[in-house]
Amino acid sequence: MNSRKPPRLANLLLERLRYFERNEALAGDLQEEFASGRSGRWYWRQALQVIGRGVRRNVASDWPGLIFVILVGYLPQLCCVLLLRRYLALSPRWLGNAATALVYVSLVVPLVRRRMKLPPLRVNAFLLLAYWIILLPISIAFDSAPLTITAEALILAAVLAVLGVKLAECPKPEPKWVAPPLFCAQCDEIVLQVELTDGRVIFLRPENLTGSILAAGDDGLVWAMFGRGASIETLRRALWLGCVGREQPVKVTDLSALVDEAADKEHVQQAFIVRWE
Amino acid sequence: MARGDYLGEFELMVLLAVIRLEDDAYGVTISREIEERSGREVSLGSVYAALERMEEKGLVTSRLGDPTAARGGRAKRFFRATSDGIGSARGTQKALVNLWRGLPQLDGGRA
Repeated sequence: MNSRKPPRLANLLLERLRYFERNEALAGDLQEEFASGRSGRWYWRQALQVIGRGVRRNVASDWPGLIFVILVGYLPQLCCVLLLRRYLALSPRWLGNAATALVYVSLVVPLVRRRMKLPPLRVNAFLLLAYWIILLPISIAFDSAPLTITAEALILAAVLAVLGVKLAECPKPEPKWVAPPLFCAQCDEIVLQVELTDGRVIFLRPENLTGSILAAGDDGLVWAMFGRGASIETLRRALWLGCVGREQPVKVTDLSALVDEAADKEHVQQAFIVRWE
Repeated sequence: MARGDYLGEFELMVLLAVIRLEDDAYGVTISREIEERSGREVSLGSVYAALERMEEKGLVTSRLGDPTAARGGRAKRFFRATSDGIGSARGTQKALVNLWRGLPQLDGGRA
């Protein structure tokens, strides 16, 4: 067996940013390829591409929240800056820097808290107050540009470091819609038993969903599954939902409700969490 | 095949590699297969991203193999094309062939 070790820093980055934890197969593939003679440069290139892809996915999944927080956060900050400039005649440079830094802070908060549990407006008001309570007195009392700039730079560096790490972290995997095997004890796989209107019981399998629906030759079944133009993925989720905690066949008349539930991603996620976590 | 169901270039390459490799389709073999046949270097990250997208669409399924020492005790994740996946590859091929057909500029390798 080849005992070459992959570049330590690249490995550390992938481990700390949780890529190896969340995709064990990728970690093994990288190791296997490196052991078979790939260069350290190749390993670094792979690691950076994996992280870059994670950053893109994180930004893409959070961009509406980010824009909302920036907009909601920036407007009150701008109003405060304008009012203070008008009535206290503070330096525009200082105020400009403070506003910029606050915008960065408002970027970090939703990422750190993930789901924005605090209302953005309240968070921004709090940060605005905290920032100015700390920095404004320093600036006025000491009138020291280097001190102010150092403090601002430190805050900004900390903010950017947090932002960078959070954005580069491996995105959380979405729950898989297809259940693990052994779901149905008799069949050793995920299968939904459906009782048709004429009393026959058929089995729907995710792999040949369309085929098994059409083969049953039951108009009620075809309408329940395809009637509202649901995607094949939604139908698979409906199948999975139908299997959760059920031992008796599901009636064909209940399938429409399952398809509706499967279209609601939150509902399916909740069912997945209850069943598998 | 519904509108918008056609595969992108890279997804199609990955899916064809999965079909070709049959029971031995996992990250390393899929990326090697694409590199050998297309002459283009692919990253394992992008192969997994494409496979995950296709798994969500129901075009491939995956199962975990046994961990091996050569992989630092980590398991391989084997992929298999579903009947929808094979149908999707066929549909994309058909659409491309229809577009290709009757283009004198592309006949016989002329530019």
